Amino acid sequence: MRYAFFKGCLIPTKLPHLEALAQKIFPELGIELVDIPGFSCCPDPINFSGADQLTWMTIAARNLCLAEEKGLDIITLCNGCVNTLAQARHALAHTPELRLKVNAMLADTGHCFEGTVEVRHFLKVFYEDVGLETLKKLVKINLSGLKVATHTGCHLFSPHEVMHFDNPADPFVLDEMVAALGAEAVDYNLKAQCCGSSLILSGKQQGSSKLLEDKLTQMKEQAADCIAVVCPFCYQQFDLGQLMAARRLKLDYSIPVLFYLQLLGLAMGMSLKEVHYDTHKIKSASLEAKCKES
Amino acid sequence: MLISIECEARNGLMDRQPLVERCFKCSVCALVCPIQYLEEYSPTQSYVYDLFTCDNVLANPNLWSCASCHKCAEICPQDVNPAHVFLNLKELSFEQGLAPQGVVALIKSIITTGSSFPITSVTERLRAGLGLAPFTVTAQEELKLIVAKTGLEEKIRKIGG
Repeated sequence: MRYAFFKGCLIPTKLPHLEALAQKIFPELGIELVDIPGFSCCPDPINFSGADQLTWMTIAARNLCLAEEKGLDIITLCNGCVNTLAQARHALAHTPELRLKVNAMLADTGHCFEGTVEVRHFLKVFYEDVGLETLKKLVKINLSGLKVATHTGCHLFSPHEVMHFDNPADPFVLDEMVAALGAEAVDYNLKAQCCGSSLILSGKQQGSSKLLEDKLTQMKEQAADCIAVVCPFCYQQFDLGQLMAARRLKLDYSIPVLFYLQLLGLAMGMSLKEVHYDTHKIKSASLEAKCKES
Repeated sequence: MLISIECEARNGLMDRQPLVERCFKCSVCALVCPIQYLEEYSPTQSYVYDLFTCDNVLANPNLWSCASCHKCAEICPQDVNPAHVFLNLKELSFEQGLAPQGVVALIKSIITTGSSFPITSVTERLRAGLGLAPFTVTAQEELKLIVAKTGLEEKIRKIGG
């Protein structure tokens, strides 16, 4: 499997350890990542899509064209990127007038959207193409005993008619992926609730903290050792955002977040240090102890 | 009409989003909306209700907090799709220069640098430590051509950005 690697903005600028981890792990799953130097920001599906829909769609179409011109499908590590690119692809593929209009906007750049490219999030590729059985074979250290609260993140499965993935009201895919590593995916209330990243991005710290407190309380009730995510914005919200919420609300517990690739890395035999746990703001002794035991 | 949107853009919005008229203020969306966590909202004053009924929704600072998570659209018994309505309202708000400064700055960063976040010396230090090549974006010239053509460049100039 060869994919154009769409890194986005947040991972390469602020969380490059997740990019490094992808470069290390993907080849072991038979996925080759191809760098496309011309990619720009997707652009973001919350603010840019609101500010100017035509430009948002055109810049997204340009990114799609770059992969299309290489004959490659796109793989992302970010729910925001996959959401923008899939929404643009869907709209352009199903609305001929819009495609004409956007291609006219692209004309000066020399690109033309044909509609042959597919856009996939790595979780979808892992789940649908690599498969749970192959993942299980990669497990060297069974993560049994580890209780994981999964948070898939809204933009990977909504709007459902575009994303065609998982169940937005009651997500289950990431639970199965966690279970494949031997860990226990705990069920908790508010599992489908947004991480609140957009609250903090728009400066609403109090609201963001209250939301996180609600979700974290539910996770704690199920004795979760860590949170599993597949989006860098959710990741930052549960790491740095949790730190800010803890200060504000005087939370007396902490639940570290792990990007799914970090959990997979641990199961494949990497140490906490090798999956870059040392870069985390939120840590816990119980998680560290359980990882050393297993 | 079941709701009243007292904003300048009201007619334009109704043209673009006639489904808004179907909202019967059941507030089911408040159950799933992350923005409902803001202090100013309550069981009787939900986020969606506020934006659907406030005086000038385009200047409502909370308009730009909508996460586009689509939870409201998925749960709405009337198929109103508030997320989609807010997306269109954001566009009118931006055009009229009513978007928060941070949003304008983000849009400008994306169209001039190709990235939402600046590539700083910290970025480069982190990447080098991991053995990753420097992160560079080479899309700027083409992005400039695009925003000239779509009219976004002119739109930003008009709002003084």
